[in-house]
Amino acid sequence: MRILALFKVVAELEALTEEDWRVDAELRPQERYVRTTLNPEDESALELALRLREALPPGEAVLTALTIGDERADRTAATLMALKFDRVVRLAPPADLRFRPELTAALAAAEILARPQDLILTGCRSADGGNALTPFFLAERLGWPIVAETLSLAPASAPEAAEGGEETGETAKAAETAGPSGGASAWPGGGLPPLAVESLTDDGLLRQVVVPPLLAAVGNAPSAYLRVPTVKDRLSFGRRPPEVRQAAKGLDVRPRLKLRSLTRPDERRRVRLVDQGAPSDKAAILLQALTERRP
Amino acid sequence: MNREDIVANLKKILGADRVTTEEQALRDASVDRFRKYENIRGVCTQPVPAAIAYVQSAQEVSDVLQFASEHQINIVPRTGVSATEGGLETVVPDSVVLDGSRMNKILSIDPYDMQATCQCGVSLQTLDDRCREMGLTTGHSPQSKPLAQMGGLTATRSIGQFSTLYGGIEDMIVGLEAVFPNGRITRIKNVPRRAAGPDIRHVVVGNEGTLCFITEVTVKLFPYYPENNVFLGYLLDDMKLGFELLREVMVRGYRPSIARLYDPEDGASHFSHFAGDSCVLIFMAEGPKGLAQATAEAISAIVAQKPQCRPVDPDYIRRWFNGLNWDPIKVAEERAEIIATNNIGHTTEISAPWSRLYEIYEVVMKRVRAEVPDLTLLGGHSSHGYINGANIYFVYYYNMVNIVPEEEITKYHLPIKKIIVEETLARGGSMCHHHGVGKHRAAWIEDEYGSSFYILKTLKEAFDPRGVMNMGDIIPLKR
Ligand SMILES: Cc1cc2nc3c(=O)[nH]c(=O)nc-3n(C[C@H](O)[C@H](O)[C@H](O)COP(=O)(O)OP(=O)(O)OC[C@H]3O[C@@H](n4cnc5c(N)ncnc54)[C@H](O)[C@@H]3O)c2cc1C
Repeated sequence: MRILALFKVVAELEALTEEDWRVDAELRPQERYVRTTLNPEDESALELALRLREALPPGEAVLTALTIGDERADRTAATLMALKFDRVVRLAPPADLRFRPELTAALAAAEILARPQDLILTGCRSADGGNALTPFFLAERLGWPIVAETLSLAPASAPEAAEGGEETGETAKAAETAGPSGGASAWPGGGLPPLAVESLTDDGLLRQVVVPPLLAAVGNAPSAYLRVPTVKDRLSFGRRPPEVRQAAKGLDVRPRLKLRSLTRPDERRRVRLVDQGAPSDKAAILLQALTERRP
Repeated sequence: MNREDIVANLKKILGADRVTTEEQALRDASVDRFRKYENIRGVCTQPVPAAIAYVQSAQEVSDVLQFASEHQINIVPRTGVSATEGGLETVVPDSVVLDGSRMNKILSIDPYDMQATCQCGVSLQTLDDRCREMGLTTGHSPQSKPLAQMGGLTATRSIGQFSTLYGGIEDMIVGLEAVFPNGRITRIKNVPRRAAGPDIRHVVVGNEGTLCFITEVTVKLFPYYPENNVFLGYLLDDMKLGFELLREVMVRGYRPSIARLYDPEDGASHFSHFAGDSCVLIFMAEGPKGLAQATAEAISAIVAQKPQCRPVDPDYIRRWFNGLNWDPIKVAEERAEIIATNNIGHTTEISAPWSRLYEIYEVVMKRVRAEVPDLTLLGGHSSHGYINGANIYFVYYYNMVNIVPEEEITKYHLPIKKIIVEETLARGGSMCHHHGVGKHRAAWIEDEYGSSFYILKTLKEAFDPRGVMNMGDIIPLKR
């Protein structure tokens, strides 16, 4: 199974000080002074990709990690190499991608169409833009089903796969139209192994059995921190630089919307300190405050 | 005396509301951050103490200590609970944890005599914030400033990030009050200096709760001029050159408040946004404007002689500096991350003369890398400089592979510590720069002291003849 995890390295915007919020001519705050970090939901997507590789028979999964961004991503790329991703690719962006989910999706789609994949994992939203649209635009461009707010995914058990195969006729059909995988099959039914995907919906936890191709947009997955490579693996595998390429040429990268202003969100919170009285008095004050706020 | 009787007596002395026997609190109180992994995993390997007793006055401390001495009950003093070396481990069954955190009054801040007096449970953050409101500072700024309290800071011979200018806690303590296990309350008066026999403050400072309980301290104050701070930062490719430059600055007589050198591995977690794979050399000059500027200019000139050092925008350093300290939120985040990744980090800090520093750094890196499995990070920095040497703070993280929680220490942490301690002692350095000995470096204490161990041992025998003060700490328990 060819698995591609899409990741992004973001500036720790919450660490920006008041003075860093001086925006420049391109309407950027002084991001360079804060550290960068792997976007949390992408981190979960990368970890889920590694777990899936472990759950599949050895040699079954081919893992690619893809980012579209500048060299600030290279440290994370080295970590992924050390974690033995088969390929790590960084596409240099042709334009400012902030607030441009449609362009990010187009660039990723071009890369994916050029080097086909069976499963795409990515975070639902990034810590900086936060529009939560990129995975949907990407799925639309590829014509693939998407499971948003994915929490976990693993090869489906045999009974689950047999049952789920019927239920997800829709997605299986989508798989056919998206083009067959070149990957070998380890599951008795032939083709790609069905995956059991858990996601969070408005109605609670949903477990679906899906036959790839699939785009799983990972949400707030519990305990899916990216594992840490050992120093030995860093030295042995982490030194290869990522493949760096220009993102697809020939795309119309002109923005349709113009960014006019950027202001810091007001995240101040009101605090009331209750430091008088016995615990029961404090609890009563808290209860009253909570009930007052209820509609 | 059995546990029930110990608790009953403590309640009689202090009142029932000041004695805790809640199971989880007791389990937590049996360890400190040295055994954070066991604690996170809910494993308890140390004897659970009989009680935690909260004291509110020197007299109460005296009463409890007399009771403990009489019945030979081991007392483990604590305040901020940020200890990292097992100082809080209750290795003796049915110990009593004596908690001074409720003695949290600032008694005076005197801007004329430039000294502040407070009880042992005052957090350093609270004290320094109050001082800063008055244009003053204690000059003490350990990374644990939001966690640690004045009693513990004094008891461990702590040091802060501005030590190169202000010194360690031992340079700041003017006088103090301490209670000895026989119940005697002693007060060392606050004078600028005296030559009236040995400096007995140093019997108390650094005793780690093994000789006495510190109830009150008076520290020096300094004018606070943050507006004059000058930051300098450089990238370089080699730690050896970095140590040379730190030395050069110190021996030429300059006193920046910060003089730090990070290797690429350790630096990566702080400076990845601008340093790449380079070593990072950092200085901060502070004080009256003319002095701060002259210091910064002189340091710039010294570093400029080494073209291999590339200056960075000082704003990187200024901003880095503002986010360095650990508060309870960061401790909670660390717990969550350890659980999720099964990856954990610890540190060991040593000091050595300039002539041996780089050698120690190099041999430790080589040996730990070769001998310890599953390492994910091994790095170090030097953060406290002196005329004759500096410290190295080794930082190491590892994945915990195929172990039960209690094996984390034996499979990983202690083997690493052992290498660092042995290589340092072999080269004439000190195995403890500022975290104290605790329980886990006690095994090497005789090597650390050599023939002067006689003095240390005699102090312990004299002040704690019944063996009730934090036994197993500094001096190992005889098995
Ligand atoms: C994130 C982090 C960063 C740190 N950074 C630094 C740093 O920059 N510099 C530094 O020096 N240390 C540092 N430390 C170590 C620690 O904060 C210090 O050792 C600190 O001095 C401990 O103070 P505390 O109040 O938390 O003491 P505790 O943890 O409560 O106790 C520490 C030791 O002192 C004894 N003790 C405590 N109170 C008393 C008392 N009243 N009388 C007698 N003995 C007592 C205890 O028995 C124990 O042995 C750091 C720790 C952490 C967790």
